[in-house]
Amino acid sequence: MAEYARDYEKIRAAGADVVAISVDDQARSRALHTQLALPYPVLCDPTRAVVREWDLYNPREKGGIAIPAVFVIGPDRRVRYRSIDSTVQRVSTDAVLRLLRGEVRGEMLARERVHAGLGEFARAIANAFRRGSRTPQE
Amino acid sequence: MTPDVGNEAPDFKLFDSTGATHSLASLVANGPRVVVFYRGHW
Repeated sequence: MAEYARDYEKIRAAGADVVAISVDDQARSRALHTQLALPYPVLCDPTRAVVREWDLYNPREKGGIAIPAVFVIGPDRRVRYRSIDSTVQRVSTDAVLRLLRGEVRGEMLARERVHAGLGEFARAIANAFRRGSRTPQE
Repeated sequence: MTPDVGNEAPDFKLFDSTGATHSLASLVANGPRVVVFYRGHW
């Protein structure tokens, strides 16, 4: 979430934009939007309708939440790229940017993500020790 | 089923943190959109 805010201007310069979706209600989404000063919309799916339709529903945590995932959707609504992630392993914004700029194809990113994941995992553990686990999730 | 590369993603209509409604079709109208599903605020 925060990293898409940090790289937002680069994403806009690549001709794209960003939107975030979670099952949070409007008040929680507003809190996150304000806290992280997000420059893009934060959508609310409290009924889980979209999360279920997209088969990204994780019923085992916190009363049912979204599985972390990143898509690049083209103007024809076709999926140009997708990455179904986990908390400790997410596709990087750098990788998404290279895809948006046409520098790399989606299937190359899918392979790269596995290597990036180890660094993310180490950072997630370090963050958990430093701040405790009650931090806003990326 | 999770929309796969090359497939058309199902349209949706959701409200945002300010109460404004967005459809996927409107979000991608001016260019590609990075759609980030996240776990939510703790």
